[in-house]
Amino acid sequence: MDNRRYNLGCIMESVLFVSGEAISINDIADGLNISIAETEQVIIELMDYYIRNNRGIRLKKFGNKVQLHTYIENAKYIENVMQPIQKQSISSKTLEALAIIAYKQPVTKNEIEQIRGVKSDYSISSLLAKGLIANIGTKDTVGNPILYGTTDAFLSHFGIDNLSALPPLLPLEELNINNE
Amino acid sequence: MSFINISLNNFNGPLDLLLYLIGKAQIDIKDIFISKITEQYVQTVYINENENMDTIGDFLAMAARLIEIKSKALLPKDDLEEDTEEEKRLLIIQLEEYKRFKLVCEQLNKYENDSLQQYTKLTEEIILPPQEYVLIDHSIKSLCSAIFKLIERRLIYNQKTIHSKNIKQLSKETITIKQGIVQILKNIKSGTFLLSDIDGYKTNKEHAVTFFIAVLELLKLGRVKTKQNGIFNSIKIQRNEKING
Repeated sequence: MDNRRYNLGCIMESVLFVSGEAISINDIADGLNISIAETEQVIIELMDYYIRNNRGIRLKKFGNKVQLHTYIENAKYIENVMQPIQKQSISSKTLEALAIIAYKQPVTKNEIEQIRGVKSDYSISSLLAKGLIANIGTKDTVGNPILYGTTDAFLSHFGIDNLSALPPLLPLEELNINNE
Repeated sequence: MSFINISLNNFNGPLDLLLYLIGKAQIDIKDIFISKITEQYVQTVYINENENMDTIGDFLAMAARLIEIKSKALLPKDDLEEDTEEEKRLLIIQLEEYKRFKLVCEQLNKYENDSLQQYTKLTEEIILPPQEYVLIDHSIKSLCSAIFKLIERRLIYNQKTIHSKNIKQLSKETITIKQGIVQILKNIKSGTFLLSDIDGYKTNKEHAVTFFIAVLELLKLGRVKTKQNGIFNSIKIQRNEKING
């Protein structure tokens, strides 16, 4: 049984290497003809293996997908040796809108603007273009405004597994303590 | 006061600027109205008045809101007071809510920076080897018969194309659409008939195409009716009685 697990880990590593881009756990389970539960178990073991053995390649999971990536501490060495194309970070204005969408989803443009106190058309269109948010329906009120929500690309961009792994919003009572 | 010498471009909006001023003054958000924040805010917007309207618009709206609250508070106490208290309360709630997101944005920024340092790669372009054929369940006999069938088919094909080997010949049109129409009309005099029954329809590709176009033409003119019982079945052609009769 252990041998089988070891083999599956070995196979999955090859699959993930070739895939490069994020691949869904369901697709792996289907392709290897094993259960999703077993696939997830092997993924956890593989993640653990990379960490324990101090490997330069790591495995991350976000939403229902997994992807190989380089060890974060190695970024500077990679950049010294070659010039990889870096993903761009989000501007602070756009990040504000994104944070509101992440915590309040599904949410309308108007509700976002209410919290930010500024027009947010540009931020929203830029987030849509980056694929970090998506139109996930319309609100059942006057004018049927579009509702926005975050995507898997959002989770990947911030390196989080799922929405519940977002940093917690501070309760109001603690706000002023934090001010010091 | 040096801190008012700041550009609005450094702020994500009026709430951001207000929080900055509150932080500078080291006061509680709830104390915003018993402080000098309104004056400082208005002054900051004032020195930035040359900014374009897109940038400054939301800041001006907030300035108006602050001044309104301030000026109402100056009036003698009457019914207005409740109104003002409500406006103050709403602004404080808005500031607090905004601040929660502001704080979480700092966290997300760290997450993002970490994540941006994790390089990933694109999918490999891998050419898979050609598919292998499994011949296990076949006897020599069945293989032989398959090959004979193939040879037979090849022979027939060769006989047909022996003259046009390598050389493509453009043959003269042997039948025109007009002739096709005449022939179809002649055929339908005797009632319903199948398109595939026409002489040459099955054997000659050119005839088949010409007759088919002829039928389409007749349909367009309303001279015939056609019927086909399902895909790939024969097409029945019939005189259109309404017009001809």
